[in-house]
Amino acid sequence: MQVFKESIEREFIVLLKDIPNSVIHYEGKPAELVSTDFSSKCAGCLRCINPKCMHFSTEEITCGEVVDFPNDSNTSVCPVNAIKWDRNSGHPIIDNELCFGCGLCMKRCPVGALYYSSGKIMINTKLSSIEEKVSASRNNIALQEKQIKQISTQRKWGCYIREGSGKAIRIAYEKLERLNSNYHNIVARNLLIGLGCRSAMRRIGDVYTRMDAVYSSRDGAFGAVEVEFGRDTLDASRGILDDMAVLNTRYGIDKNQETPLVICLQLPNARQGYWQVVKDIHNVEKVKISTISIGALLLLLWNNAELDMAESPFYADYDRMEIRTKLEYILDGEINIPIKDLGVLEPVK
Amino acid sequence: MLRFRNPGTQYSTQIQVIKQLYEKLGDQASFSLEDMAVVIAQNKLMTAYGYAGDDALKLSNTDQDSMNSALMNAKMYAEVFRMLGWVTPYGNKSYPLVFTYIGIHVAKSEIDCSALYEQCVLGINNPTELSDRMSYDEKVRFFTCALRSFIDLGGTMYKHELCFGPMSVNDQDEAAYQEMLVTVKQVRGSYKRLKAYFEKFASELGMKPTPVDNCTRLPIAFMKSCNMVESVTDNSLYGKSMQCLKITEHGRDTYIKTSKMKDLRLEEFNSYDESKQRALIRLGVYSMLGRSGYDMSSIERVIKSDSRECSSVLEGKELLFSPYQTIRRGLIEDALDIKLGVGASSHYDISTFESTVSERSALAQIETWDLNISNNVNMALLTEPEDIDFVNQINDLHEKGYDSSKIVETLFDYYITATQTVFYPLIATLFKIVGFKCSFSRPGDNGARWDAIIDDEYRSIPIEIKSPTEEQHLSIKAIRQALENKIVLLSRKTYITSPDVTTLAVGYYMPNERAEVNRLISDIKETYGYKVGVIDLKSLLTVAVSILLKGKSFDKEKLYSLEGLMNASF
Repeated sequence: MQVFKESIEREFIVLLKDIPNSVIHYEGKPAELVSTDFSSKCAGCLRCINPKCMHFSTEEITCGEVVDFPNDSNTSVCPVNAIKWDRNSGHPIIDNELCFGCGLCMKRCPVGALYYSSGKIMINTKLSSIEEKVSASRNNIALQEKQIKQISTQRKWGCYIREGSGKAIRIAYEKLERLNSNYHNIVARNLLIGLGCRSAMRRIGDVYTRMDAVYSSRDGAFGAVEVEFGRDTLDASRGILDDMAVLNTRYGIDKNQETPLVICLQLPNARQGYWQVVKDIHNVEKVKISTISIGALLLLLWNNAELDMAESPFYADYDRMEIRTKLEYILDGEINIPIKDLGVLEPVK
Repeated sequence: MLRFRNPGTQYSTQIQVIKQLYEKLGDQASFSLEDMAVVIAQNKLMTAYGYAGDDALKLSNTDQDSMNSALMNAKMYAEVFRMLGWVTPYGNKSYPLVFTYIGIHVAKSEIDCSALYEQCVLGINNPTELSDRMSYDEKVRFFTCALRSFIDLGGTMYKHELCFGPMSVNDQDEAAYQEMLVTVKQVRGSYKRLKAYFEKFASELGMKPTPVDNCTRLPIAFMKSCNMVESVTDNSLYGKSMQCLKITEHGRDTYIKTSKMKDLRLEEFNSYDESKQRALIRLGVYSMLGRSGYDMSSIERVIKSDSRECSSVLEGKELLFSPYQTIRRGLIEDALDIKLGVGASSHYDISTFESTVSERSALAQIETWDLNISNNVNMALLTEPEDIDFVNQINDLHEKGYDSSKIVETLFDYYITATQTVFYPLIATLFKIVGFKCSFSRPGDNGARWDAIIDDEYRSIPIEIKSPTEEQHLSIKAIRQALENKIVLLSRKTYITSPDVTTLAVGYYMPNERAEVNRLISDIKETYGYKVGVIDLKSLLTVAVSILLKGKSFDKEKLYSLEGLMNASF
């Protein structure tokens, strides 16, 4: 029986003539690959056989701490499916109507051929002098995979999107606020993976798996994740208590070994009572629930940072309802987003 | 009207499930629902009561198939996949199943297979050789008809319009189609008119409105998954703001493309000789794959030759015909010169998963309080006007000759419409009658996390209350809130209590998912050490009436350590 092949097979792929020492990212233009002699050049799309800008690996969407977790095996990097492979041109294309500019695809491109310019993600498809177009033979594909692996271990510098006065965040939030609730968990999961964590989320429609997701960070933290894009953030702290009970009894994970995380579009307003309850839970149960906004995750991602959670850096409660200080410490600089803007770093009210 | 069943509708999950099924069952000659259930559960594509894998199978394993959630889950996927033409009956009966040639392509797809998925959605048409015992007789390719309806009706439709619109029309009868449009336009303009028309429409089908409404879920999900329509809020159709569906640019393009194709249906297909039928089958399958981006260059010659043979049918158009969604597999496999349905026998036996249903049932148990302890009302606690009113209400009913049970039933029925403003004070009054000093919080007061509190010298109990207008049956949500109340009380110390004293959730009815609620209560105890007690209104009314009329109550000491669901009866 002949099973036909999808026309993914490339006629050609692109190889690098030399493996760069480091990659420097910029807003507004493709990244520069810096070679050993300190010369630098921008590279075009490699037409990867397994495009990292489009797909996560199975390992990335699995948490070893809970191997039986009934996770969604959707490996799309773009949470809103804005990046697609264009069979005609032989490289990915971005639907900028759907794209909200999270930057995940940019961060994952091994040569920084994807970049952000004037509120849109662009793809550099021009071959540079450090690249060569070769036939998509088995040997060349293997060589390309080896090169990609090598580049991924090299140092990455620079920043993908500058927050400026919050313009990029505002563009993202305008779309996120209208996003169908089916996409909320995958936005959070994918950002966590983009920040170096592994994360598994429950499947849409699975009402029995309580937590929205679980994550484990590279520095060894593990915890349940509750995602809240609406106003009822108290549900998230209650959800975390429930999640910890389930993780304890079904997966044998002690609540005090966990670093639970609430990811919300906007930090809860002071009047909602959320911050007091987080403080109460810490007082009584000695559990620190970290709270981070989608905007803060975006800032970390755009600035090439990772999310280390072992020390609960984003624990905030009624005594300190903000995450700006910690984020500025991690990013080693002042963040220009106005105070209380969109509830990204402080509650709006 | 077409009866689209109401199963799980997520595109991404459907793809994950078919891929797993093919990986594990692709080497079998055929597969049953049981095979599917085992694969779906073991690959964690379903959960039962919070458990995945073998535990989910054990928890689902009942004697009654229709109660076996793993089997029902498998059946749901089987129905969707059959509709999409990915699986088809092995023989003349509905089960076992085999993967179709198209299904194998979806399962083996290495990239985004949304284009082939869309072809399968467009392939859904009625009637088919496989739909001989249906309760409807519409002849329609629903999704092209729906897209055309959207365009002809201004781009936006309300979901119920799909029911009496494209789901209830013979789309090859132009006059009937135009008449359907007129009907929809006539209904538009008044929500009251829509509601009345929809109820009448459902009644004529011999159905209740809700199941008719449910029939729209799967087609809407299919259209959304294919990006043919999107949800919009619209107030132009019925004079009020409603969630409607709007055709997208892609939906319009898709309709334009399909309207230029040769739409081949069962009746016409059957009118051709076998040689032409075989050619049409090949063209149908290959054109679906070709439109989905598969490289068909190796069989270009076959396609050309078949196109020549069918030129009188096609009249120069592209073919819109999905064989697996129209006819049985035998002729298709002959035409494609493939043999499916060969291979090993089943690897899986669902009966090997020893049932743990009884353990689950045990979890759904409710304890009952014995009302055998003398207890007279402490009138000093009943100081509020609502307390006195309630006691008078009971006395009035008693004087009318109502016995205790009837009084409870009467009051229980009376309070079904109670809002928070009525229900919170009522619960406080009932606890006061039992002998506890209880006060309620003003509804909406965010500062007080609990809705009422039993104020005790050392063992105060926070109470989470759900009025019947919020939720009639207590849910997991109330249990979570009861846990939060306990932690808040221990932290803020506004009333004195200790960790071993219960925290309560009170509602109109006991939870529907009792085993789930009891499991959470047990998880909370194991993890945090706190007891959560659950009481329904009828039990509290029973205790209160028993005290007021018979001077009998339960052992009040038991309330402080209540864990789980508690009942009371005379």
